[in-house]
Amino acid sequence: MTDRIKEQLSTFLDGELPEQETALLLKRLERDDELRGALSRYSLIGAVLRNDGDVPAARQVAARVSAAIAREPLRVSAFVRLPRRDALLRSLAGLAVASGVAFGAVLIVQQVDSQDPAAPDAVLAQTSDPPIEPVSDAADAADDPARIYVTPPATDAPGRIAPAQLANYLVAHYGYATPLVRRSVGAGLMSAPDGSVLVDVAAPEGKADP
Amino acid sequence: MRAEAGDIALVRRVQKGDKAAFDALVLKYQHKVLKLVQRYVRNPAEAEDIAQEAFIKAYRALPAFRGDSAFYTWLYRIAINTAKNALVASRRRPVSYDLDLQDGTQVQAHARLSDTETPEALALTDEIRRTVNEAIEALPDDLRLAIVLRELEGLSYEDIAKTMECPVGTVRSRIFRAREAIDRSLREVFDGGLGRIGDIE
Repeated sequence: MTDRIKEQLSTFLDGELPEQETALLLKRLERDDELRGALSRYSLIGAVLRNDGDVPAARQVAARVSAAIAREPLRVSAFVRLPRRDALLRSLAGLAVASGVAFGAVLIVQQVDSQDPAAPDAVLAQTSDPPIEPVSDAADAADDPARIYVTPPATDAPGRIAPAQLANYLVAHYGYATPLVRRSVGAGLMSAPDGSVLVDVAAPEGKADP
Repeated sequence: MRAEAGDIALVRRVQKGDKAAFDALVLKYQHKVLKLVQRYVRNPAEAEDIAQEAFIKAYRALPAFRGDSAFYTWLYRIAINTAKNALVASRRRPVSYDLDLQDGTQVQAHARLSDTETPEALALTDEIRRTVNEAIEALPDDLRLAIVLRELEGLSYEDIAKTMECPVGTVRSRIFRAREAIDRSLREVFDGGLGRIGDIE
């Protein structure tokens, strides 16, 4: 135990130690018996000085209380709540994650929708669809920004998700989906109007049957 | 007062689930609580049991502590009630002293030892008092003034710095060096046969 630590202890006893140093000192106090002894003696010195009389030296009180408290359940006050700012940040963070997941899902579904239905076994990541290029009429757009648009790739697919491709995607990412999503997407697959579902989602390897 | 603010900060930590903070409060106040309890129960071992019980009760009640009063005042009330209850339970009458519950430190110090106190406890208590007083007298003037202003007058470091016309950092250092010098003498007492250093916690 260095003098610097003991000086912190002395300052802590007087309630003058900054909050951050206090947190570190408390952690050290938990595991340093010598430091605990010093704190106890420093407080004893103060008690003797202030009372100018007989101050009994507590021998085992702190150790016994500490042992008893360690067995106690954690007691958190109802008065102590998360600061509103923290709670708000947590809510916003959760919302941001949820939004990101939803946005990603929409993009993926759009990609699946744009693939050639003639190649149902194609792995989504290996598709070679022409890149989507923004096309704009610069002159018109300058006047009317709403006219800027994205040209979808040419495809013969009907306006729905190809079941086999979606099934492949679903199987490949099954582990990342929530149970609710699994059920709803799976149910959608199974009820495809053309009945062309080609995948056994319960297959151990998670691969689609052709 | 900064010390009270420091106590409240520790209390808030306990209320958030930090048991180490309560440990620090126990280390800080155990001697004063024990002294208070011994106004009611003279037997040292019994007094330590009651002091321990008082701290555990305080820990359990701490989630409901709002900080309307100083922590030590609240703690002393618990200690006094615990001591009284222990006396009732043992069907003994409490020793009557005038206790100012609004300020737990203003306990009359004229009570002397009873037959139930051991000679060892008596010797240790007297030796501690003598040693601390001698060590204070032996301190250089600047260290003695700093610790007296802090412990007896209850001044903040900032006020002590103004009084002694020095930086706050110097005050902090002087008070620490004063405590350390007194503590060296105390450790010699505990190591010298009246009690082992490990006994005092």
